[in-house]
Amino acid sequence: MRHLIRNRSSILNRQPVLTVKDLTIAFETEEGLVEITDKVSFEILPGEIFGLVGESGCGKTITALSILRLLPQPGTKITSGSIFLKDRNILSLSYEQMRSVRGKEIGMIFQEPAAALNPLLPVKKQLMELFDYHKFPDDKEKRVAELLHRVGFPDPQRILASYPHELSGGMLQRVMIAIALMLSPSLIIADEPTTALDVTVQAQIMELLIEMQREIDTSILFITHNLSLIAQYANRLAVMYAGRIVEENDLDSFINNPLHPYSRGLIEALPDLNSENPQLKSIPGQVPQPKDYSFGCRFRERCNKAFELCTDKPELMSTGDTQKVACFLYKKEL
Amino acid sequence: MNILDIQNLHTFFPITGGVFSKITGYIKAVNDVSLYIKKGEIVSVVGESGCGKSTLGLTALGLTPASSGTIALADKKIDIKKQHSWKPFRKDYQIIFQDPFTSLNPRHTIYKILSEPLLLHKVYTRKNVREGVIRLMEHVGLSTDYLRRFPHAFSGGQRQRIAIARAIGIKPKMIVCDEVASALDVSVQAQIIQLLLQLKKEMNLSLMFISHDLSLVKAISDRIYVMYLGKIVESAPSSDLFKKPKHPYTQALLNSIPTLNRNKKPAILSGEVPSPINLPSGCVFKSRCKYAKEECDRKHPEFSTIGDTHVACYFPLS
Repeated sequence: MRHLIRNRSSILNRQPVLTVKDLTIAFETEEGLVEITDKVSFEILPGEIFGLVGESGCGKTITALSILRLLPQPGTKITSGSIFLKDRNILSLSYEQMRSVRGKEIGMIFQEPAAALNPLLPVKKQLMELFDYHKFPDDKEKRVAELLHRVGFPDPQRILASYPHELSGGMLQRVMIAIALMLSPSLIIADEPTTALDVTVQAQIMELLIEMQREIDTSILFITHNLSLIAQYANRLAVMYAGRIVEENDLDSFINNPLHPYSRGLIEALPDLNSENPQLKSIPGQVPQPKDYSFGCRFRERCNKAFELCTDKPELMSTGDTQKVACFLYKKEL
Repeated sequence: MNILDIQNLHTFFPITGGVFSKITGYIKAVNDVSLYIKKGEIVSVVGESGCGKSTLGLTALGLTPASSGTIALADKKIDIKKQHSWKPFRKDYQIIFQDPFTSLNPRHTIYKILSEPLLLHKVYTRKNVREGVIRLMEHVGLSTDYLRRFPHAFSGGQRQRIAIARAIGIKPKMIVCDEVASALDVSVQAQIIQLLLQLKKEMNLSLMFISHDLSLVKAISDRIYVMYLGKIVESAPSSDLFKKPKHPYTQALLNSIPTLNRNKKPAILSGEVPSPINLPSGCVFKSRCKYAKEECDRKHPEFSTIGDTHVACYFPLS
């Protein structure tokens, strides 16, 4: 136990790998700028698996893309905020500097491995590309084969010679993990890495990802809509709703005592495999579209605890050592 | 009475190759499946992608031609080789598809989408069909202001409500629900399932629920069939299946689902589903089964009955 505590404090004292502060991203539309995220802030510590959870359209993927400066252009704009990778401001890097960050300092695993790989090139070419670009010295071929062996291919040479369409979804995702890990980046962004896969393969891939994360001692920004996956594999999480972070918490306290009414709704909406008589609970209403985001708390129309204060905008405030929540229910208590 | 009774159903898709498109093999999507659904029952078919569960649902309604086997709808045997033999049953057997973004015609208004089946099956006449459409929309919780809108104006959850309204309008006896919730967000998923359950109760429907999500299926089904590589490997009442799975695959499937319980890590089932073209000899699951023994190489096991459970395994778990 003491060992755990020491570990925890040593994590707390270290400098974050990634610091996102007040990040606001907007789409440029005919009606002007439509904000997709609203002052998103979070930090990822070394060696940590940080979960970012939310429903489709809440802005989690766009946040991830902005960290790699891969926002669709033209059409998207970062209107305010900063992103620091250790102590370098990513948003002020030049195009060339940014290219040397991608793959080397930040690795990325996309949702659809079949769409993320080039269908016209054999796997080997796609792996070597990264080594070539970052001017990796000798024995590249050997390194690539070793890496594939490491992610669970007993016969790497056959995989290297194959084209993406010859491999299954699970195999492709292993290749993606290999690409993300090639240069031992200090941060890996995994955007829905297992959503396109079956449950049995999902467990394999997650286990592999976590094992590799420990091996090269990196941090992971783990983006998913699947709360159970976050619960199993992350240390800390942030819940996003309609472009805002509504809660930040560490996992144990989140599962036993979620703070925000939306978090509670999400947990209750999960069918419980272990209960004798599982009930399905839903959150009434629909997830709003960015152009319909209203004033005040954006969850208030669907919230059963909404009261008069909720027409103001709630700020993210600390309620404990590691807990933050954007909800007026907690303002009352303070 | 069985609303649906399938015996030894096979659905094979030919693979052609060469200049003359010679048939070089078959994808055995549904391979010797027997299944029945009683009136008013909710029966689920679960399995991983590519196991043939969707093909099974489509074949049961004659939307994909079966290769062999017998299908009886409401105790009346269908001639599976003749498309028109399904026709008298179309009104009673409906289907809701997985992706509400592709299952609604983008060029038709909601009014058109919902009125078409009502007119086709003469539930309403041209004069009073509007009234029927409005009643349907209210029934599934859609505002009637939307009548003249096109599908693109709706969110996933609303679209799925439209698809449900279209299916229930002609008062069917059974609906095949093919992954109806998997394209939706968690918070909306439960809304759609609850709507289906409520309609089921009101209209005394039978539901065939095709899903990959075991935890969702648990909450709603009476009986569950587990499919692997075109074959049913286990069938059991919902409570038995989750409490004491008999087939190693069912057990592996249950254990691989992540839960909120941080002390219980998902277990790993090694390997991947083999190709349905070259089926392994013997038990279809043996290449991934940790209990596999010599006997499993012989041939695919017959079903044995343990309590209410039917399981195709030489060494069912106890």
